[in-house]
This record gives sequence, C-alpha cells and structure tokens, in this order.
Amino acid sequence: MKSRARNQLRRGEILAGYSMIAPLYIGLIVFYLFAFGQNIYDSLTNKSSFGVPDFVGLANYIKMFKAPYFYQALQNTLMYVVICVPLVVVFSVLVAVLLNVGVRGTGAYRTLSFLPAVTLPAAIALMWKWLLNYEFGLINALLNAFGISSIAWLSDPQVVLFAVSMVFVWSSVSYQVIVLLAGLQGISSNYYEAARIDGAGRVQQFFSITLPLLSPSIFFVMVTSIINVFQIFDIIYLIIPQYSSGTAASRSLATFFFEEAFIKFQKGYGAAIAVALFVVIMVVTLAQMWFQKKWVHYDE
Amino acid sequence: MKRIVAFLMVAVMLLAFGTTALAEAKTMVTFALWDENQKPMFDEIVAKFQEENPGIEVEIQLTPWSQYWTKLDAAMGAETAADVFWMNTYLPKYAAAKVLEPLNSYIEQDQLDMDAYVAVVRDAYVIDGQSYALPKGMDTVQVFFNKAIFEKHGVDLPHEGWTWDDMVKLATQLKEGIDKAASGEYPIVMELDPQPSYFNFIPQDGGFIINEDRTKAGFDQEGTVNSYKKVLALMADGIMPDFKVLSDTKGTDLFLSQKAAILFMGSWKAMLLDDASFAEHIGLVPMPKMDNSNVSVLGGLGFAMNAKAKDKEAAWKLIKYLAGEESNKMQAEGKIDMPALISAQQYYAPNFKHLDASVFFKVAETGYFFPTSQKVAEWLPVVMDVSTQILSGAVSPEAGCQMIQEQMQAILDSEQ
Repeated sequence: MKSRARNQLRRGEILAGYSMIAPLYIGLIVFYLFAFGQNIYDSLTNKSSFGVPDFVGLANYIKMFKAPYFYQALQNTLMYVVICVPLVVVFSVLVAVLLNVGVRGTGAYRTLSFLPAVTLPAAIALMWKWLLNYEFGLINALLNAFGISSIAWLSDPQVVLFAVSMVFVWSSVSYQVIVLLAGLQGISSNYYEAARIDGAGRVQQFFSITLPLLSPSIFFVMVTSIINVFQIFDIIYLIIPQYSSGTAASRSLATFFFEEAFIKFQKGYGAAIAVALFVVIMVVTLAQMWFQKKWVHYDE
Repeated sequence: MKRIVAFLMVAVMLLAFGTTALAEAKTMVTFALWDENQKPMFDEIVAKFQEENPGIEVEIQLTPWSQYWTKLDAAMGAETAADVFWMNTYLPKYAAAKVLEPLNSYIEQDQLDMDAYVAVVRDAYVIDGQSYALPKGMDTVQVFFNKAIFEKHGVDLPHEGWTWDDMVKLATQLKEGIDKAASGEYPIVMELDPQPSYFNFIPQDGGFIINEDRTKAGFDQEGTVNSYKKVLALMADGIMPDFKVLSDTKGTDLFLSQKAAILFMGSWKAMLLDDASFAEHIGLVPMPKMDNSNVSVLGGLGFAMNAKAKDKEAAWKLIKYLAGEESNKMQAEGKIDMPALISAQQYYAPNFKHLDASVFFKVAETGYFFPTSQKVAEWLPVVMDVSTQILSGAVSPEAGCQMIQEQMQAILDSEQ
C-alpha cells in the first residue's frame, strides 16, 4: 500500500515536472527540432520559390563542394574565428578583472561597459559604418592626424575582414564580461588571503588563482563566442556597403547562405550550406568539450 | 448572473453573424505592396476607388521589401497571396510559373488604350504578346551637374547631345581648375550599382546584357568589355574618385555635400537633390553618347493580378484604377512616383522648384527597360559581384566579363 502511494506521488511529481518544462520544450520541438529536420530534408531538394520541390539527393552538397565561393566563405569564417575568439576572451577577462577591483565608481564603469550588449546590433553597425567611412570617417581622420594615410576599412579586400572583426569584438566583449564577473565573484577571497600571506604578488595571484578558478567561466565564454563567430552575419550585412569591393573578402558562411537562399531564392541549396555550417560548429564544439578536461578546473 | 452572461453571449454571437453577413455583401480584394512611404498615398487612392466602387472593399497588405518576395512565394504556395500586387523585374519568373493572370483579355474587353503609356515601360510587362501587369511608374537615369563648380573653375557646362569624350574633356578641365585651387572636388561621381552606371554604359558602347529573346548573355561582346574599360579610365585619369571612395560613400552624398561636379544618377534621387541648399545650381542633362548611343535604363514597377484571385473582375477594376489617370495624378502630385502614363506626367514636373523634370521624360523616350529573365534573381547577383571586382581593379575587364558570361549563360541555359 505504502509503495503504491509513493509511486503515485512520484508519478505526480514527474507529471508536474514535465508540465513545467512543457512550454519551453514545445517551443524547442516546433521551432528548433522540427525546423532542423525540415532543413535537412530541404537540403536534399531543389526547393526554390514555389512549386513542389523535387528530391535531388546530394546534388546541392556536390554543387557546394564545387563552388569556389563556398571555400572562400569557409576560409573567411575560420579567419573570423581565429581573429575574434582570442580577442574576445582576452579582452573580456581583462575588463572583468578590472571591473572586479573595488574602486570608486565601479557601478558606473560596469554600466558603461555593458552598454554595447544592450544596444541594438543595427545601431552599433550604423555607428561603426560611419566611424570607418573612407572619406568622412573619424578613424581615418585620426590616422591622418598622425600622418598615416586613409584606409578603406569597408572596401579594401585586405582590410575588410579585420574591420568586421574589430566591430564584432567590440560589440560582444561586454556580454561575456558579465559572465566572467559572475565567475570572479564566485571565487572565495580565502584563496587570495592565503596567497598574500604566502607572499604572492598581484600578477602571480592572477595567474595562479584567478585564471584557474575562472576557467569554467572562460570555457563557457569560449564555447559561446566560437558559436557566435561562426554564425557571424548581422555586422557584415549592416556595415559592408552594398556593391562594396570588400563584399567577397568579408563574406562568411552565414552571409553566403543568406545570399543563396534569400537573394537568389535557391532555398534547397541554402539549406545545404546551413547544414555544412552546423557540422563545422558541431565538430569544433565537440573538440572543445573534449579538450576542456585538460585545462578547465572545476572547484569542487 | 449566469443568465446575464448567457444573454450577453447570445448578443455577441448575433452581432458577429450580423457583421459577417454585412461583409459578405461586399467583395474583398487584397492588394500587396512593399513601400511604407507610399502606403499613405495608396490608402487615399484606394479610399477613392472604394467610393466609386461601393461593392468592393480593398485591403492593403504592407510587407517590407526584405520579406516581400519570400512572403509572396510562400503565400502563392499556400494560395493565400494577395489578389493584386506590385511586381518588378522579377515578373518573368512569376509569369513562367503561371501564377500571374494574363491581362490581354481584360484590356481588350475594356478597350484600354495601352499606347497611353510610355512604350518601353508598357512592353516591359509583355511576354510572348501577353500583358501581365499595368505600369505604375518609372525611373530614369541621367546626369546631374553642379553649375556652381563649373563656373568657379571657368569650364563650359554640359549640354544635350554631348559625347563621352566631351565629358572627359570637361572633366579634365575641371580637374586642372580644382587642382590649381586645391578645392578638393571630384569632377565625376557615380554610384556603381548596375542601374545608374554600367547597365547604361554597356548598350551605349554597343554591347548588351541579355539579348532580346532572353537566351544569351552579352558579356562576351567587345562593347560590353569596353564600357567597363571606359569607367576604369575615368578613375585612372583621376577625374573620378577610385572605388574605395565610391564604395564607402554614395555618389549622391558626395554631390550633395558639393564635392562633385557631375553625378550619374536616377530620377529616384531627384526629390532629394531638389531640396538641396544649392539646388538652383543643379543642371540636368541626358547621358553623354558613347560609341553607340546614349540610351539609358528605365526601371519601374507594375500592378499584377494573382491567377488565383477570388474575384478577378473586381481585381481588374482595382488594377485599372491604380494604373489610371486619377491614381497617377495623385501619385505624381504626392511626389511618390513619376507616371508612365503620358497624360499624367504634367502633374509630376511642378513638384520641382529647381530641377528641369522634362529631361526625365525625354530620356524615357529612348530608354530601354532594366534587363531581366526568369532567373534574373540568380544571375543579377553574379553580374553585380563580378562587376564590383572589375571596377575595384581586382580582376581585369576581360577576365571579369568572361567570368560573368560563363556563369550567366549557364543560368540562362537552365531556364528552359
């Protein structure tokens, strides 16, 4: 009798639990899982504007692997990752550590540094578009004042990738700083006290205590940054002027996908590009999950 | 309490039935467009139409440009697309998919005079002798120049009938003056997207973008390659800023900040230019003649009908009204579009305080319509992408045109 009542109680708890996560999960299933499956199916069809798409097998993937634009976009995307991720991690750790020092006005600094995260990406991009303008931009004016000639930040194929990366780093550091600040505040002050008694300097404290104990947060920052950079789209779309000579050199996989699916209306092909992007991100993320055992310390 | 609730429910239901019954007496026609700036004007036009046609109720559906085509395509599949909608250069694709209602029989039935429209625009919506849309308005491309800069440096003004070489000569004189005065203006600026620049130069120099049957790409033509070379020569000679400048800052913005003497630009920027502080110094002239001609691209859109429109007679009535005298007059006076209906053009010119709008209509007479085909959405991005590489010096005009030719021809071959 008793166990039956317990079973019933247990069943009730399970039901209550599921019903609580249901709203989220229904959304996930409908808008993510179902859409994901649909996307994989679409990538095997010649879906375009209208009409019933035909099943074309791997034709879209074959076309993609033969397209020079795909490799260029892939290469650009990897360059974005190589440039942006280390910069985001280093800058966000530095800013977070600085903000964690209790000086007068910390609150104001924290608010200021968080501003880019709450500003619309479109506003950020428009602002940078003018700062980086060849003819009238403030940045070139500054360079000219130091006797350096103007740089075509948004048009010179050799520079444009760095310009986009710079804006990306600027706009994404602030969110990661919040994550790291929370991590820093979770580090017990006992460690620092002990270190000070043992005679460790500020720098040694940073490398021997802060960094190792912050590593779970840094790991999180790395994983999310890498995924964000792989999906880089809005900044490119908004700051690179239409018909710019920097278009090809700044094109990421996500931009390539957008152009094929929504400008040329080749939705099946676009779906294949999206699947390729997914596979790349998955492989890199799995690799990180595996490597984290080597450097991330979880404070038990 | 319960009884009151029940009573209210019944009352509400009765009301609901009543209104649907009323609504059913009217025919509903849906009308899709993408420009929110033009919507208030179309609200007025539609209100007037409804006054004259009390049996028809029109619902305007505004979808921003960025989603317009995606939504239209999806709605076509689900058979929920609007009955009447704006259509542009993508028309051949929709006509080929048989989702547009052919309009010839309606035009004949009402004996609509199609010669009342600018011929190029009218013919742009005809495929194999069948009309698929009535013209809304048009855009032309011509040259704007800042007289004050010419006069400051003592250079003759451009005049109608000028040639490309004349322009180079004037611009070179301007450059000498500008260099001497160190005043920093550019003699010539352009916006290097197809419509205001190379899509005009290609036919002007004897080449073509696509042939009349829409089966062959023309980027293997000598004239096509030469037209790119002529634009590059302007940059090399320093009479036009190089691509870095033109790609970052719109030519129109340079002209508006009085940093440029000659601007190649479409009529769609004319209102903006007419509002400039120095607008009384802005002159207008048709494009200079290259080797072949000075024809320029005409753009524009039309009103098309969904082949699955619920009430086709009502939809046709709306289209006829939208493309008719009253609607064109309202759009012209409201400064939102330059009429392709010749009799309504008189309402457009007075909008300008300084610019001479007659140049637009003159240019339209010899214009040719923006090139298109069923898969224009696929080849146009290729043309733009590679043209950008040519004009920025990343590839030579010969190599670039060959790249375009191969890719564009392959797309055209896949149309049939």
